[in-house]
Amino acid sequence: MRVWVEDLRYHFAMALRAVGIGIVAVAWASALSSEAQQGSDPRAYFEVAAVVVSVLIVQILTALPPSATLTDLVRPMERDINAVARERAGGDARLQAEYVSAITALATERLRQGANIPRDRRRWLRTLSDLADTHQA
Amino acid sequence: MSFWWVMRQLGTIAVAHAAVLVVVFFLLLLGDALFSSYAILLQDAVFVSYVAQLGWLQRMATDVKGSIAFVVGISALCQMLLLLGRVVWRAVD
Repeated sequence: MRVWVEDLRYHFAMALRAVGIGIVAVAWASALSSEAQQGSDPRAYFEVAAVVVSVLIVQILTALPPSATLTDLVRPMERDINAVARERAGGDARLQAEYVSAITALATERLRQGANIPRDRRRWLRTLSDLADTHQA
Repeated sequence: MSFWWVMRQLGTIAVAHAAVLVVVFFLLLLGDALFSSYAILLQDAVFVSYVAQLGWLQRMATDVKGSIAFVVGISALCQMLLLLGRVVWRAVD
């Protein structure tokens, strides 16, 4: 998974949502002003206002893309991180929690530097846990 | 968040909106193609043929396509400005 692909997917979904709601708003405004027997000028102003307001509200409710916070990118890996930490800790709950936080920190740092998440996540996370061991030593 | 990250996001927003515009126009075209093929299938139905032609003229009219492009443009502008605003807000905060 590449980070920019995740961002593109996110932006596309948000754009589709905003444009869909905008088109519905302009159709609704057009139908309302037609029923109210308005002239072409007030009708056009009403439609433009409907589009701007509806799209602005939708975009205000839209968060930043996944690469901005990185938590959205790390969240799907939580299960793998826990599994690798459990493997390494060998039943010690305190050590497992330490591994989870160390692996998460290393993964986040690498993603922030522009790394892509490889297909074999477990292998990558095991390498990161080795690095965590090296840091501890 | 670096300058290049912001530039990449703005470019991605532009690409995503161009893709949305293509998708919406394609769906309009597909809808009219389905209606037109239905009209061709019912060769005797003058009314269906007339409605299909009228529908085509209405949906493919410049003002309809222009309205859709306007909505897409406003959406792209809002998304870009809000992204910039949030990034600046974060940097200040």
